[in-house]
Amino acid sequence: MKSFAAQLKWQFTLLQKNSVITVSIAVTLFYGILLYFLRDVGSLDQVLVGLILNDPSVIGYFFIALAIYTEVKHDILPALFVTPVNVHRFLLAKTIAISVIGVICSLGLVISVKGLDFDMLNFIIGATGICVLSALLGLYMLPFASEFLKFSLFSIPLFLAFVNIPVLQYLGAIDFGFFRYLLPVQGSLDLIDHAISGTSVNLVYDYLSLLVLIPLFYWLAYRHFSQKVVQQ
Amino acid sequence: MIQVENLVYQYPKSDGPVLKGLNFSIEKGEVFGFLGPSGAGKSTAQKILYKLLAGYQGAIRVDGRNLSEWGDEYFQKIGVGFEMPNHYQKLTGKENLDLFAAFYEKGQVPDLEKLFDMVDLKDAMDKPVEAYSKGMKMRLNFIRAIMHDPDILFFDEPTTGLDPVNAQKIRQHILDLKAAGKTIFVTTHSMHTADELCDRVSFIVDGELVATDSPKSLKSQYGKEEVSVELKTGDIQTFPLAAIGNNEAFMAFLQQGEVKRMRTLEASLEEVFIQITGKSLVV
Repeated sequence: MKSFAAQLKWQFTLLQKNSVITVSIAVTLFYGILLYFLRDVGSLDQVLVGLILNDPSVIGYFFIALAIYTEVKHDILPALFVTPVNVHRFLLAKTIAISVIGVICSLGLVISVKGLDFDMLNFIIGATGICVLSALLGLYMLPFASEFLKFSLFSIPLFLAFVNIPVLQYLGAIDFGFFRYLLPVQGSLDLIDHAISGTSVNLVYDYLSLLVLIPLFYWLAYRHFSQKVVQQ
Repeated sequence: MIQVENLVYQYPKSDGPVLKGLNFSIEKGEVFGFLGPSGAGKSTAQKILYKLLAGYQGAIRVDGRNLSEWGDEYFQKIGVGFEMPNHYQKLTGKENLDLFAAFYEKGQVPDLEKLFDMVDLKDAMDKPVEAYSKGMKMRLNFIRAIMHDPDILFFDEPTTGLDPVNAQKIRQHILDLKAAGKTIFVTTHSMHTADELCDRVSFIVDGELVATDSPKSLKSQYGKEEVSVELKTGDIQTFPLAAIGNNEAFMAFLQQGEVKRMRTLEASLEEVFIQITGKSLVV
C-alpha cells in the first residue's frame, strides 16, 4: 500500500512536470468561464452534459496515452520493468491519477454553471466512471500505434463513437431504444444527467454497468498491455 | 549463480533465430563478458536474462531456480545498466532515482548523495535530466542500476558515450563491485573494456558463442611468445621468450647498441577475436 501511494504520488508529479495538469486546468477554465457567462442565456444542462462527457474522457483517453508514449519515447519502460514494479500497480496508479484530474476538471465545469446545486455524489461517480473507462480504453488501444500522433489519428473515429454516440442518443438525434444500455458510457451519462438535471434514470443499471465494465475494461487493458508492451 | 543451456531465441516475424543455442555459466562474484560486434545477440541474451524478452527455448537457472519460476522478487536481486540513457527528462537526477527506489523493498536509498558523488554528478543531482549531457545520463544509468545493492548486475555497453576519464572510472567501479562479491554480466564490443573487466569472456558472433576463456588465456593461446627488441640504431629483432636468459643471440643483440624499445608480442583481445571469428569487432 505504501509502495502504491508512492507510485501514485510520482504519477501526479510526472503529470505536473509534463504540463498535463496545467493544460487540463487551462482548458477547463476556458470552458468554465464560457459556461459561466452563458448560464443566463437558457438551459445549459444538455450542453453541460455533452461537454462533461467529452472533457474528462479526452483527458482520460489521450493523456494516459501521452504519458506512456513519453515513457516509450525516452525508452523508460524497459528500465521500469526490470524493477520490482508491479504492472497492476503501474497501470492503476496511472489510471487513478489521470482520472482524479479528469473528475476535478469536470467538477470545475459543473460548478461554473450550477454552483453547488447538483447531486455531487452521483456526479462524481458518473465522471469517475467515464474517466476510468476512457483511460482504460486508451491503455488498450495504445499498443496498436508506435507514437502518439499515429495513436491520435486512428483514435479519432473510435473515440467519437465511444463518447459521442451516447451523447447524440442523449440529445435525441438518434434513438437506439433499449440497445443504448449496451453502450459502455451510458451508465456514466445517466448518472451525470441525473446529477445535473434531476432526470429520472435507472440507477441500479448505472451502478451495475460501471461495476461490471470497469473491471472488464481493466482486464482487457492489462492483458493487452502486458502482452504487447511489457513482454516485447 | 547463472546457468544457461542451449538458449535459442527468435524475434517475432524475423527470418531466423538471433541466438542459436548458447551455453554458458556465470559464477558468483565473477565478471563475465560477451564480446562481439553489433547485432551478434549480446543484448538479446541479456534481455532474456533480465526477463524483458519471453518466448525463448532452452534452460536458464539463476541461483538454482528456473528463470521462469522467479517472480517480482527476482528484480530485487538484479540491477540493469542499459546501453542508452533512459530517464524521465523533466525530473531531476535525484527525483529519477527516488522514483525508481520507490519500487524496491527499502523504498529509498540512504546514501543517494554519495552515489551521485561517486560518479561526479553531485552538483547536477537537482538539475532536470534534460539538461544532462549523454555522458552524465549514462553515469545516472550506472548508479540507478546499483542503488538498491543487487547481487547480480547486468551492464550493456557500460562505457558507451563516456569520455575516457569517466569510462575508466566506471570500469573501476565495476571492479569494486566485483570485489564486493557481486556477480556481473557485461556485454561490450570494446576490447579494452572486456580485457580490463572480465574474468572470463565469450566471443559471440551471429548468435553463437565461438570461444570462452579468460582474456589472459585467450591472448596467450593466440599471441606469439616472443619479445621484440628495437635499438636506437633502428635495428629490430624478435626472440622467443622461452629461456631468453640463456639466449646468446638475444644477449649479443642487446650489446650491439642502446635499446630504444622492448615489448612482448602478446596478441590483443581484438586480434584474438579476429583470428578466431574471422570478423572485426567494429561493424
